[in-house]
Amino acid sequence: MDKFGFVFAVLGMALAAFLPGWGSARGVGIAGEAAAAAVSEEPSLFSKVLLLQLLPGTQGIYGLLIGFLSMSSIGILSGSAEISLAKGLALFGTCVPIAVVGYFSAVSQAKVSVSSINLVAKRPDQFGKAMLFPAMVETYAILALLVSLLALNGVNALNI
Amino acid sequence: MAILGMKSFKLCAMQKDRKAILERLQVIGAVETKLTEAGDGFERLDSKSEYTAFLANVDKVSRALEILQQASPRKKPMLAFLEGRREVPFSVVEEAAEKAPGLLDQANGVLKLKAEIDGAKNEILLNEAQESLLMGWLDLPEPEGYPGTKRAAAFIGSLSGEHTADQIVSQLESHLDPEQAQSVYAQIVLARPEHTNFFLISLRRDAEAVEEALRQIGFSRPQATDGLTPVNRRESLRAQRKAMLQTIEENEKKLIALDSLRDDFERLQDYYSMRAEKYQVLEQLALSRHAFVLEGYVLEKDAQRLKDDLESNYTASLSIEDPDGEAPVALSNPSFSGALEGVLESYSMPGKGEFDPAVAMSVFYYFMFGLMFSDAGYGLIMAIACGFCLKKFKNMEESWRKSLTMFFWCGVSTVFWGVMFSSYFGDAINVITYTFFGKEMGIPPLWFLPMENPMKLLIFCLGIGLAHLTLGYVLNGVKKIRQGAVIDAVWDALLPITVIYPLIVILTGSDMFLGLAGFKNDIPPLVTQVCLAVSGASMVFVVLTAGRESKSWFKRLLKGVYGLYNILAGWLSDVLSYSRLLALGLATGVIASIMNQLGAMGGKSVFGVLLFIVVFAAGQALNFGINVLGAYVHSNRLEYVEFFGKFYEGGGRRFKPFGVHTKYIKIEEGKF
Repeated sequence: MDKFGFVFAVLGMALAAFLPGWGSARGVGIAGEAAAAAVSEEPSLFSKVLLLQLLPGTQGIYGLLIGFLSMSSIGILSGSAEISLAKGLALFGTCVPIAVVGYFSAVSQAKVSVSSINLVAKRPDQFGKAMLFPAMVETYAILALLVSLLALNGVNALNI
Repeated sequence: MAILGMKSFKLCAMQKDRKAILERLQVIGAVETKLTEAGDGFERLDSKSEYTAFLANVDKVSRALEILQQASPRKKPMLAFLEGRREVPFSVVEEAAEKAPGLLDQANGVLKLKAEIDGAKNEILLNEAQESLLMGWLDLPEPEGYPGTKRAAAFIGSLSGEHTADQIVSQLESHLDPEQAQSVYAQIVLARPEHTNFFLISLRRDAEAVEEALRQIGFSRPQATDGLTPVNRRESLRAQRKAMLQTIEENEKKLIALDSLRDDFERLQDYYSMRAEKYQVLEQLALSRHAFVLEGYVLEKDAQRLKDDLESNYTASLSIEDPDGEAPVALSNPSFSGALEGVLESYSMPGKGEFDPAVAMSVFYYFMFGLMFSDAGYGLIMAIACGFCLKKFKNMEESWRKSLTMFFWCGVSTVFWGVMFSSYFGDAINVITYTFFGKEMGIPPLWFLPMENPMKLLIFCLGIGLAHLTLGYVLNGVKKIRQGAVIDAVWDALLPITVIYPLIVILTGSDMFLGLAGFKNDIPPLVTQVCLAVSGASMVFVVLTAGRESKSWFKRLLKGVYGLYNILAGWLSDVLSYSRLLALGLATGVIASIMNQLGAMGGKSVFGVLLFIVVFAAGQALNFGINVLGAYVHSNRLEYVEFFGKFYEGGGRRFKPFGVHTKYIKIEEGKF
């Protein structure tokens, strides 16, 4: 039983790294198809649609960030694994916001990105607005990142 | 720092000066034309076909230029796009106009040469396919169409599948009389698993029956009607191919020889672009037999000069009036805030009765961008790169200048925040000194380390949000007052502020605030009471006034309550939205540190140093790219949604003067 804290913490770390990463991979993939279609019609749109394609990619980075910070709190990198069950569960909990919100927001954001890419393909002058729509979705990934980050920081400082 | 004054003008002039006046207007690029009303003996000219013809010429010449570039590539330096258009006197355009017909023929010639090359390349493919079909017939000494002799009929062709001569003859026997079948003789030319080519003879008198029998077993004749034997045909195909290759080579040589025309073609393309734009304006004129009228807009500062310029040089009269509601908008800002005009225009140009928010948005924009990017190393790279380009390429196009200036200031702000938080490519200095020199060293932060006290930074970010939003409300008040609606300014701009600020003062004295920020203000009870009173009274006023447009009291009250809810919920969600400043700021630093840690995994060895260099360069570049994108997008969002939402509607149209919109050259006389 005394190792379960470590197990939960590692599970949390894995979730934080793989769910948003998976979501971003799907998201950038979905948006990439639309981007390639837009460039096939008008090659000069490349830089604009590339930015729009990349927008759902940030969740994966946020997940990586929390995953790495979890790793250093667990002590995997330094080779120690002394974590109480309570702390392990707490660390697991801190990873949940970015893991879940990261995945779903990346996929939703990708759908908006596709629409924005279509918008830019029709009206390249409306790029500023087109970029804003996917950014709206990203807000929630950022909020989740913030909660995970602050909670992780807090849990680290606790002596449980 | 403001919206420039706009005037509308009406120009009346003589037909004989039309060409010269339009050219002059185009070169000075100071007026935007609009559709002039016809009628009263004035008519409009239909110049659409000329316009399309000029556009088609632009397209032709630009394709010719591309072809010449392919034929003899000129390597462009990496930053060539920043060099801008070359400035030339107007006489260069006049020269191009004189040479235009001849040059256009030459451009057409280039297109023709290229078309011939493409055609020949296709032919060669076809030719090779034909030759590969011939391979199965090379042993045939006669043409495939060989009919036979007077007494004997010849059948040359193929069956699918592999057969021997005897098999073919025995297949035919079932379809022929025994007597006819006896005289059939077959010889295989080539047998392959896919098909068998053969030569078959029969008696002339049996020809019809044999042909019918062959048809029934699936015989097909090769398509060749030129009467050549396969070997001869192969020679002829090869000769044709050689000729085509020669054509290609000759044409390519010709194209390389035409390389000297490129400068002329560039001018020609620009000349046609200018003509096309001029013909677009021509459609907006109202013409009579001897005179013409043109209406449009001109900047107030240029109006008098334009009038003097036209009236002194031509028989013309220019009347200047105050503009109508349709007038376009032009902005003028010092370069610090003017750099953000592009960001502003992406949202919308100021609408009627609004002021230019560029200055108000610029300070916060750079500030917030820096806070989100927050790394001195990245900021320095950005500022130096942009600063270098701005210094080196004096002639760059205005839109590039604005973007680079914007990123220059963003970079400066990023350096500032990086130093405050001690982020130099993340914790690169610490990691390098610790891993390779055994003793950790670093530059202490000027303020504090965000990862050690994120709550402090969160409160700071929310404070920035509070200030930004308050500025938004204040600007809303200023706008209302300028529009003469002073009382609206009080209700819509002042009340939201007086509702929330007293509450914030009380909040800073609470234990909750202590828990978040680590300190709290000691607020005397009297101050608390005053604050509650001010906030409460403001809330009452909001309830009473927020629904003031409705007639019925009941509706007004309901809308008032809803208005109060909106103000409170709005402040809360808007301010919390600024927590992204913290999240993205931390993300930059933490990811950079992760990259450094990954790089340092090789330890203190030659391999370790090499690994570090590679991982550091790639990882930091990736982090730079992702975070510069994030900082840009979210600075825009905070300006567009949170800030503009408070006061700015937009809806204006940018002033787009009739001018020289070319690719390669601009006109010296344009300085007016």
